[in-house]
Amino acid sequence: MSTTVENSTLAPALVRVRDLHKSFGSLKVLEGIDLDVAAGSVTCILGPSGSGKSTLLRCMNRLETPERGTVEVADQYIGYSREGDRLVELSDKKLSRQRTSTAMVFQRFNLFAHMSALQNVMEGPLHVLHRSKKEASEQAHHLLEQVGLAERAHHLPAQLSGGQQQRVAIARALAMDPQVVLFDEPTSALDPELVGDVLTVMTDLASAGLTMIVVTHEIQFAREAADTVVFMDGGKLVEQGPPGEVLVAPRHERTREFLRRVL
Amino acid sequence: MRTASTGMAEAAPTLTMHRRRRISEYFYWAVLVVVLFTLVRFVSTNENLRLDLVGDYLFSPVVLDGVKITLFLTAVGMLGGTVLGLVLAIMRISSSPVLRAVSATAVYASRSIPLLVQLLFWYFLASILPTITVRVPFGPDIWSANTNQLIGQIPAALIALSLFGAGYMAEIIRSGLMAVDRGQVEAAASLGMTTSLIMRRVTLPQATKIIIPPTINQFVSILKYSGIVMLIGVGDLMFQVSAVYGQNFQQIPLLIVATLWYGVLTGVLTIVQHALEKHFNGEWILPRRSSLRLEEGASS
Repeated sequence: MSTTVENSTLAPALVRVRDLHKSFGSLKVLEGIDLDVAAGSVTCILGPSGSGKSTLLRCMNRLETPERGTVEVADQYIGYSREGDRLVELSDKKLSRQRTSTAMVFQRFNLFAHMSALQNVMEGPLHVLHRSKKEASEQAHHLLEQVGLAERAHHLPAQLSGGQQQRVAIARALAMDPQVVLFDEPTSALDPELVGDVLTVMTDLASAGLTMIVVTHEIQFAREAADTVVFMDGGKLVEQGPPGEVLVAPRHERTREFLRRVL
Repeated sequence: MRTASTGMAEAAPTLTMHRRRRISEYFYWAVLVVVLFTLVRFVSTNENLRLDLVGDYLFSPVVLDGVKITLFLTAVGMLGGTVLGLVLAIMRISSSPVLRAVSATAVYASRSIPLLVQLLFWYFLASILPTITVRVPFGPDIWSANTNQLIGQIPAALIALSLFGAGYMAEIIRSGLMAVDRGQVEAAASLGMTTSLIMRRVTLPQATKIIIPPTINQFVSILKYSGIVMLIGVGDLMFQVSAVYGQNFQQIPLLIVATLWYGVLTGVLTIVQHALEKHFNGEWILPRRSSLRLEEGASS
């Protein structure tokens, strides 16, 4: 890999991606990705459509199964248990437990359509973390208040706007107390006037020290909130560094070309 | 004529809207009246048609006994078919190739073997398997029973209806499971929910709504298919009316009796369907906006 960038923080990496490869049939989507994400940092992944950014994110909680390479979150190999020098694939139950260390926010919100906003937020704590109903409900109310939807708690997803749904989805992710939250183009499906509310919530979370990996097209958000900006193209990580470098003075022609088109 | 305050546009003239006149409707009415008149005249003037017998037998103990048996066969057969169908549907979408293949084969068998064949097969099973024995492989017998005593008429009918319905229910349930948004399943997985928890908490509750209409449809089918059990002497509604017309030779009036009962039961199921649909719609879908209607000859 030609792009080695000194990590801006000295903290040990919370997420460690090594030599990640993924294909869909004959289409190679990821061709050897290496990435470190420090605890408490915000990493924005930019790149043209089809560059593999979403697939990379989805490999981090194993919604996609990579063919080669590893993802470590908090020193655990995602999808595997380590037995000496062997990585043995985990059972459904153990993989599910591992997934509680990561949470994901999706482009299309993916709220449970038959549950209210409150029930959506409570679902994980109640049925995965086995918290008490009282505890889960109090936490869910608190989180909905934090994303500005306290009075929408009993609305169904169909009764909420896209921006409101996405903020419920963020609250649902946070309710699991994850070590890192993966955002997969969280504002791409929103009407332009609704993007701001979601980005405000995300900026607040970033400044509160949440570890975030964000696949996005919002250059402005990356510039303001990111500690590290990663640019991907053609399944490869082209360059990474602080936003002041990658967005202002990119070293690679492909990054320059991409920024010219989106800015 | 007034002008708008800006002086730019004229006020719209007062217009009334009228429904389009459909000449064809009058023709359809005319044909319908002629057909109904002919039918009523045929029924009311026909001396061979003993409609009085319909009233005599509709609530007779013999017929009511048959209705009870028909209800029992339909309810239990449908329950068996639904439970088996659910198992087959979940097997069909599992990650195991073995389970998927077994399910696909079972569904094919269930749908391809005629109900009549199934019914007779289970009824005559004793001819090829006189005793049913459960034994430890290569070991002693645990339990044994005479097939004829074990699978009598009613059990044979219930097994046949359940297995016959299972294939259809499996496909109905599978289509419901597949219709649930894949993104919600991924969201559930990302929260750390296991496959079975996702099925219980996310997929099945939403699939239920989708499968209500085809399931009730299947229920109505099984209700009427159950009449076939009269062939092995189960005393259902069809069996009872045929026993009566076997003696008095009044086939048509007694078939009308049976039809009225099937009609009532189908009506009850339809009401149940509407109630269920309303219940589930109210739960997580906004009420549909009533479609815009033109007022009849609206005047100003």
